[in-house]
Amino acid sequence: MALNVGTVGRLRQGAQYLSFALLMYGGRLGLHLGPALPCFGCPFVPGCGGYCYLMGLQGYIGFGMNAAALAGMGLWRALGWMLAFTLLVALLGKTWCGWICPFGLLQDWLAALRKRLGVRERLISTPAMERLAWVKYGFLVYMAVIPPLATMGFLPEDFHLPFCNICPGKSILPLFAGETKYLALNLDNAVTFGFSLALLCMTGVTLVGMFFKDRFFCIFCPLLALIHLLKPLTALKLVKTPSACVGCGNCRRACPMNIEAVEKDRENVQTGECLDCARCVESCPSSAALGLRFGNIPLIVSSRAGRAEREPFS
Amino acid sequence: MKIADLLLVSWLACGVARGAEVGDYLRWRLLGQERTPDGGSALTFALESPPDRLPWESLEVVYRVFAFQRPGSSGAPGVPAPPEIYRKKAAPDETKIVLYSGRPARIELNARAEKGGQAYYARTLVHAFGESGRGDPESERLETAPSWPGFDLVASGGRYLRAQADGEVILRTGQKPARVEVFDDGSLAATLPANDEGRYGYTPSLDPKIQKTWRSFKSLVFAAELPDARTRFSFHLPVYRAYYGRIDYRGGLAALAASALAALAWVGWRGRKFRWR
Repeated sequence: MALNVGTVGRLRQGAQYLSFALLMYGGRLGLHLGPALPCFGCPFVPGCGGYCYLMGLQGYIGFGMNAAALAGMGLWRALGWMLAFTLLVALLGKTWCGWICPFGLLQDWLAALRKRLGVRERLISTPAMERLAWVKYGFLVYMAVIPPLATMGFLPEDFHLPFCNICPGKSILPLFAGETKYLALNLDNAVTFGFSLALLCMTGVTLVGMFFKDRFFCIFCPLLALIHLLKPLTALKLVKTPSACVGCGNCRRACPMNIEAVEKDRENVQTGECLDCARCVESCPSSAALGLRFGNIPLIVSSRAGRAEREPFS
Repeated sequence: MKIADLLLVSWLACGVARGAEVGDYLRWRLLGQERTPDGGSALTFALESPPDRLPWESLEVVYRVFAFQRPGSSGAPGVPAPPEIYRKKAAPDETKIVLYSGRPARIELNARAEKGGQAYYARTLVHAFGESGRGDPESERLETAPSWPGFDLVASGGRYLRAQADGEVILRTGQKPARVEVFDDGSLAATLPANDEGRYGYTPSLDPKIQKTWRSFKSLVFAAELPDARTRFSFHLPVYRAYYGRIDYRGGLAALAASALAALAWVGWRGRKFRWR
């Protein structure tokens, strides 16, 4: 039994708000979901309820070069969190990005503000998008290379968490818990200064980008890249029935990532940038043309009635 | 554009030079350590401030102590009892922290001070006073020297500190131990030379491996084994895991605003060529 496509938007928004509250403030209520979440909960938020796997990954990669250190920090625990991350991705796929990620919700807020102010969205062409998409894989390589060099002593200790040090989530998300120190330059030494300057520059550019382009940061998000690499493990898929498509282009217009593939005449329309947010399914006026499925189970299926319910005058 | 580039590079260079300053920090320093009559320890700390920053516009100093229970004192076998935690305001001039006899403890000293748009902070973790081993008679106790005069913090790149001890550990066993080892949580061990006087000097800097991996260990442990091979003693030396530093809010907000404005200017400049929806 698929969800009513007319109510999916409200359901997604509810899930986003709930996860935002739990991941940002859950720790104050005793909730600790661990360090293996496939979304941007941030350990730099005081009292967070859980945080993204990237921090743990960088630590494990770094300490992996030193067997004794890895044994000291708990090899089985490291493997356990890796397994937990994999299972969470296998279970929910990229809905972590579209439905749960707190940083995604912030991006949606800024997009809503832009719409309210009457500013149009800046579009990125498909070839440019394809080029930019490689940046997130570049971040993964960066995370794989730098921590071991720091562990082996080729780089200073402050290189241990190279991505966290420049991730805009580190400076923006803690603000919701009253933590402002990541908006300051860290003058401890040249490395921390460089990282804090890079972080603040990334934050400034990201905030502007998030305002002018829906889900701007998701284009560069290494967590999305990591989830996409594990895509074969998940049964959750966005599926299109080309014969039912009327070619109206609503799906692409509704897509926050402006993915061109979704309007093409083919069954597999899911690309590396898809967030499984199901906005395309919501906006589709043709019954059963688009759907989010878990294996053979339809979760959300486009329908003429559902779209009419959501947008009665369109 | 060239002038702007030049200004940016100059500003960055000045910032790096400022950031690379060492010694302009707030820091906790161990003034001394003494044994209390009941066998516990008392550690005295003081906060050191950069002279040109005094008086501070705001200063907050607190400490927390995690006093762990004696092994097996309560709880199910194999399950450590929760530590007793207490948090108090510290005095910047002299903070004396008394620890229970025979119970390992972790001390966190925190200080935060502000002046002129910059915030200084110092946090020092001390793992202190653990004592265990078979045999309790005074003659078989492993003790430290009354103080560790050479136990000090060595700056490492301005942020993290390494512990460097050149103090002595005195074995009052009446027997020359078969071996004396020092090891850390990462299982790195160094066997120390023993001499007939029963005094064993320890200088971690002799072993570069320990220094390199110091971030991974929680405490240094001395272990001594007597020739009968049945008696082992160990003693945790307090090891500092401290960091301290300085953050600059004005510079940070300026960097944030500058980058956001640069991005906005770029959008405005290239906006006509964009596709909008």
